[in-house]
Amino acid sequence: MSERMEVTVAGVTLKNPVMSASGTFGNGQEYAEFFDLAKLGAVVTKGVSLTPWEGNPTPRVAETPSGMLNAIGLQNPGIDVFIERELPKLREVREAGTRIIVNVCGHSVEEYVGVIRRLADEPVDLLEINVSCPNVKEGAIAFGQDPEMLRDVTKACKNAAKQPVIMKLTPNVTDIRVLARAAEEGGADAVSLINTLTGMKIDVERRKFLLANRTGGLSGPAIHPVAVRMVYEAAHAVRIPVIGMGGIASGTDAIEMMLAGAAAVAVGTATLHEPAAMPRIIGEMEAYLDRHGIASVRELIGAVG
Amino acid sequence: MSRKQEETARVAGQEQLAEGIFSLLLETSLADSARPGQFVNLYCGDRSRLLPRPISICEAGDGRLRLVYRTVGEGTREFAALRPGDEVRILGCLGNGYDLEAAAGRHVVVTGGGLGVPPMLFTARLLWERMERHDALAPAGLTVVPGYRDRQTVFLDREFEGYGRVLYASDDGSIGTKGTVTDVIRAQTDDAEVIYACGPLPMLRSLAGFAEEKRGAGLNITCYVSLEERMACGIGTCLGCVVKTTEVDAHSRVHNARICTEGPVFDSRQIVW
Repeated sequence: MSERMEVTVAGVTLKNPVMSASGTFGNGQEYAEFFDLAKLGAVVTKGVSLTPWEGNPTPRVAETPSGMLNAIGLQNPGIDVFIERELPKLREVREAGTRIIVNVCGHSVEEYVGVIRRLADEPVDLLEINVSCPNVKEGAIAFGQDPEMLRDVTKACKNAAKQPVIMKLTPNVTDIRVLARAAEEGGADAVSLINTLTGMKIDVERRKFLLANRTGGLSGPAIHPVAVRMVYEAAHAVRIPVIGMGGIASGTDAIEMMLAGAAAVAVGTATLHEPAAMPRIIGEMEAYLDRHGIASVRELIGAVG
Repeated sequence: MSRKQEETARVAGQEQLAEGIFSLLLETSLADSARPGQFVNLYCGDRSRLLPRPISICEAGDGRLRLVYRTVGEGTREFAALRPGDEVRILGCLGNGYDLEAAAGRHVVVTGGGLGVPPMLFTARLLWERMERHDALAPAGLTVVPGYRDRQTVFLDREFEGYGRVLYASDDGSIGTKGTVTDVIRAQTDDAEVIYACGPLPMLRSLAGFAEEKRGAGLNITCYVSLEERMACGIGTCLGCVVKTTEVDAHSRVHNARICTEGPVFDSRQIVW
């Protein structure tokens, strides 16, 4: 792949702007059966916490028009198993130039910091701090909804981290610009958005909630216009790079997100509909550059207006 | 385990078996690697319905998969409208399937309830064929127990004829014996050593209890149950379809096994009922 697809986020160069969205891609291995993971700009892992987390009761997922709700609750085997079992499987992909971004979750500042410290000397290029999961009762989203708390948790993460830090923001706020600025003030190297929008679905025939957790996070093409708007707002509020995500299912969607101001993009729910969605999207983005005679995808970042 | 593949399958035929129950025949390379108890993901053509529909494999062979399913919403209604020559995107074959080697030399009961009946056809046929050719892994005996609500909801029933002893159960007694499949197995079989089951949770729970009771009485009996849950990816990444397990499972390191990957078939002792 030529340099024209390269982008740089937080000082780290990606071979192309497309990465997996945390939680929709496991740690990549299941999808290696469908395409070469080295085609991606980066693999973003499933959120990992200090100890194993059980997650929420089932049902955990429900389909909605052009979208879905999930309330997995960040089930994961914990940082020890992640380092021993999952990270080594990504070594080859990393050696092929695909960046590894570990998504970190916690119930408290201490837990985030604990995970970050464990990753200090591991083959990891960037950290993405999940302060935006709507499905976990303590921590997570609370840190992402209050600017002061977000600034403090960002500082603590930055102090502990060897790798550059991306703060993953929630759209479930009144003004995303305030939160993006708080992350920047805390020292974040980049922000990524949007995590899912809190939603609810009721089975009308049975008069019951479809998700055992009652609420869940809405993702998929249904949220794409909201994501584009918020990426635009955040990109105009901060100087650090913005990674855009939310309902991207095509090269056109990805280009749109970059025009709004994203330096890179993540693809999540589309992968559930089509395992090899990401390599297709990368191909469509290249075709767009060809069609418009654009020398570098970097020219598109924030180029609308 | 064979590699999972995503491909476009060609519709070879479709027929309606009962009210809301359809049988779809697909030409696909996935047919050759299919095992009883596995499932496939079917994708809707309408992209506004983005999650795949997991459907159990009813039969497989000669480059064809047969899927018997119920229309429950717009997605499955879209499948019901497929006609010969149409195409549909498919991912498979998914899940572990039944451990048929456990049947070797033992008395086997194959049972399905309602929409759990279809995968038992493939299971019963393979076991019966092993018996016919005196395969080393053949069971010592085979009893098939399809269960239905009533005569109106019966489908696939006649297709089991010829695969050993067939005993029908129905809630109202309008076909076979009145009662649950567990009632029939308890009353009319006294030699079950391996049970392969698929059906609604209360049926599986009752069979798990039956097996436990028999083990308590000193019998060596294994009950394999095929579970279902709302799924998203179908290949083990999203962790949408977990079930509480008695042991900490190797993948999750918590008491959650993925139904799509570690399952859908479990030894009933693995499950927290």
